[in-house]
Amino acid sequence: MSQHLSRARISELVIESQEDNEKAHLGACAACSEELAELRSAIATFGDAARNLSGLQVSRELPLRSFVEPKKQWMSASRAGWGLVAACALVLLIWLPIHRKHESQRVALLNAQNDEILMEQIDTQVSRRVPAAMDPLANLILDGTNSTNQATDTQAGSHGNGEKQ
Amino acid sequence: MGHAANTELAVIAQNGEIAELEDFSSLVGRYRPRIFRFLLLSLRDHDAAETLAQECFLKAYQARGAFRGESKLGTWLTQIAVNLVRDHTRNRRLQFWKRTQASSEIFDNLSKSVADRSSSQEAALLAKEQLKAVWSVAAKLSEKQRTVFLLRFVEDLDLLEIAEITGMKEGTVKSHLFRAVEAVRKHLKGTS
Repeated sequence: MSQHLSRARISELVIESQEDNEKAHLGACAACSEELAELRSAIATFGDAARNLSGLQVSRELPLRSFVEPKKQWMSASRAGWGLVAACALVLLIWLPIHRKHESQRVALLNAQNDEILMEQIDTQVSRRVPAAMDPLANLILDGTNSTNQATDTQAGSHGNGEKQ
Repeated sequence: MGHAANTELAVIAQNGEIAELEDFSSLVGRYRPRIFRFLLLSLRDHDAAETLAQECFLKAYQARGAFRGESKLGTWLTQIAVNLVRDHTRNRRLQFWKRTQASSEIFDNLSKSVADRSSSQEAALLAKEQLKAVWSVAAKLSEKQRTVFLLRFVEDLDLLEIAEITGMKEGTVKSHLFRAVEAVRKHLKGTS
């Protein structure tokens, strides 16, 4: 049997492939092959456990939150925003002329009503015998005239009665 | 014919890698487990691994225009992750207490997964011992040795790919890897 492999060489054989003579030695030497197998097994156990663990933990513990999502959300929000703005603009474009038409009709109607009221006021003013400010005086005169008339009537009535008598 | 065909295949593969970059959401879904695993085992801190995984993809997203498809996407992403680990380790050396606590939780999960997959109680015990040995050695390795060790034995990458990711020469990668394996061998010898 050839000489035992050095400890350093056993570590190297985990990284690189064996030479033919090393292969032959490992086939024959239980000590070297066991040491190499143990080292390989320990590293492989670690690797397997790590791959298994991470696979589980990544899917379990990390929610799928991609940093790309906020950008996409922003993009879609932006698109929705622009859509909303466009819809508003369209509504305004349709509504504004209709509103203006209604408004002008309303103003015309209001003007007409105002004109009517004004005309009525003018008519009232024109049909008055005296200006409104002179109403008390006019009433006084009117009262005076009425009382004079009544007195005259009374006198006339008494004369008439006398004549009849 | 052979060379031309190879070149054509390389161009197709290159275009494929670039095309994959276009659908970034599915790229994140595909590569995140691998990147997260590497970060988790390197830092032994869930929160930090999660944060750096996000940061890794953010950096990739920002630099996606510069990706020419010369390397594989996985290699490129791992390269970013390795740089993030390097920066993080430099800045957070004093937070060892937090790492120690988080580290024991990760180790508990690791040994549980080993126990679940072992055929017998004896096999489970042996596997746990092996795992414990490698876990404690990995904690004492230098950042470069640990990175190389994880990329080789967890991510199953070859030396050339590791060299490309870490920016080291292949010989340097081999040297770091050898030291890491030697440390594991010595630890096993000491415990057995």
